[in-house]
Amino acid sequence: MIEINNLTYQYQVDAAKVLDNVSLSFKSGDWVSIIGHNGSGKSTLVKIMMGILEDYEGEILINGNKLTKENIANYREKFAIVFQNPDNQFVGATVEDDVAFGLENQGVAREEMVEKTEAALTAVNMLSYRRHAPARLSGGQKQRVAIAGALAMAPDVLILDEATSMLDPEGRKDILNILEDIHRERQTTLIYITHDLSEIEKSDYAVIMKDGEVLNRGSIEHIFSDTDTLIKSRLVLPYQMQISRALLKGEYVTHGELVEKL
Amino acid sequence: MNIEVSALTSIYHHRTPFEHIALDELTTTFEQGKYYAVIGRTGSGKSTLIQHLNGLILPTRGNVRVGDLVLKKKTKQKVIHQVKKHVGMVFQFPEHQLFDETILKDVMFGPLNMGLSQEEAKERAEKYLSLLGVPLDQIGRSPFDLSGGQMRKIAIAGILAMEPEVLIVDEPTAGLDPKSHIETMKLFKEIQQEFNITIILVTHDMNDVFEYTDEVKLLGSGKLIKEGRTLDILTDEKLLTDHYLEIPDIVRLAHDVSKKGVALNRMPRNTDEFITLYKKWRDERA
Repeated sequence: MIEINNLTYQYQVDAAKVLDNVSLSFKSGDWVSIIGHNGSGKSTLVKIMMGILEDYEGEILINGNKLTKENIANYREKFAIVFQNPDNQFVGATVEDDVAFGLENQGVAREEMVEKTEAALTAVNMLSYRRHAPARLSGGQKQRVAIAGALAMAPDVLILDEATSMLDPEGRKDILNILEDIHRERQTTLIYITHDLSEIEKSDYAVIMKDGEVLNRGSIEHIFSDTDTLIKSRLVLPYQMQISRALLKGEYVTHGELVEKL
Repeated sequence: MNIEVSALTSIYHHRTPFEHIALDELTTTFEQGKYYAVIGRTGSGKSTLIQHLNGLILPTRGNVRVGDLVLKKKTKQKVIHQVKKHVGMVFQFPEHQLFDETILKDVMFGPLNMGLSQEEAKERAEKYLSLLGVPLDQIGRSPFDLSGGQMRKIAIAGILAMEPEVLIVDEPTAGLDPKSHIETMKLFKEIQQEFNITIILVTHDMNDVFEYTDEVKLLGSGKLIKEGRTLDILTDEKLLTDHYLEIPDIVRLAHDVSKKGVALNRMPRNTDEFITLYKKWRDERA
């Protein structure tokens, strides 16, 4: 359980607030999407949770314990993150070396390391690529390896910071399917950051951010039932919601439901 | 000016154990003024094809004819340089290509490099900046003070200022937020109509292909699988699925509602058109 209370952050003293009194909580095992346009504060929020940014106002509680400069190192290994650009996150010469890197740093015994690496690569359907060079993989495959590297460390929380935005539709679908499996089988808390409303359907819960504030939160149905807030947040409605807004008073529909109702 | 691609074969690492045939005897034509999309699964050869169109890669066999200029295996640098004047290339994140201290100087760089005088280059730069809606009293400022979308416009003005007849646009919306995505796609459509230049768009986004382009070249394993009107190719669900491509949302919707009796006048190209056509059908029926 992560609780964020009244979090406020600015990069410079006189600058605008990048986060303005944000309060959120993430239940263990939930898949939460955080949606907002560029500059809405979503990445800053993640950087604070990862301990990359300090000197914020407000507090973060992890299972009831307040995060401090002193204890953040203990929590850092419970968080793993996958970034936007698949090319910027490789250290190993082969896929399996890369996935094992974090474990090796922790001094995990050889046998256990192999076991965990194989399990992580299996979870992302990349075991057969174990001896390949990461550089020769497609963008989608690279992101799958990056996710495996994160999973190998058995994090409590896996954060994906626009991890699919550089991928083709095939790669994007693969990642979302894999996250669905991870969510079901491992009970890892997933924090999925995106600006694409069409990617949030599988999550349990979503948070809409704009200019450092939380404008709305709740179930996917709830989020989509308030299309005004989505538009105000500079987001683009998925096609079925644009049509629902024009023809069905904006109720939340999937493609199939839309076809049925027209 | 047309581009004619004749029996183009492109082999990476030719005559080595890593040999890979990226394009296999591909023949096609791009006609002046049309908006094309080159589509196909990752690895189908589309990026290789467009790099041949402005001489970034030379053919292993066959040739590419750009107007009167011919690109083939041993074409000289001088000819390639000529080709580049006619065929402009906009890469992903074009704003990363900005470098000069003012907007004006940045846009003048290309024309100066082509051998135009300072005055001519300035004239060109101002013409294209104002056509793209950049106020001329701003062009003494640094391009780096602008927003991402504005910077992209400056970078594109720099390419337009060389007055290419053909503009190749490679995955222009990757990594952009949805609003900027729409703005960028609209900008290219305006450019194509305003300047009557050929646009060749490479993308995975079938919604964009369907909404904005006139014609499609579908590639698979280095071969031309099919070419023709966007309206015909992108409504062929089986063809798209067979090549691991998405069916445009609006096509899927129009097909699905037509199965239950919603008879739209014609195939809508985007959600707004769908809404208009649907309302019309509903009102006529009432």
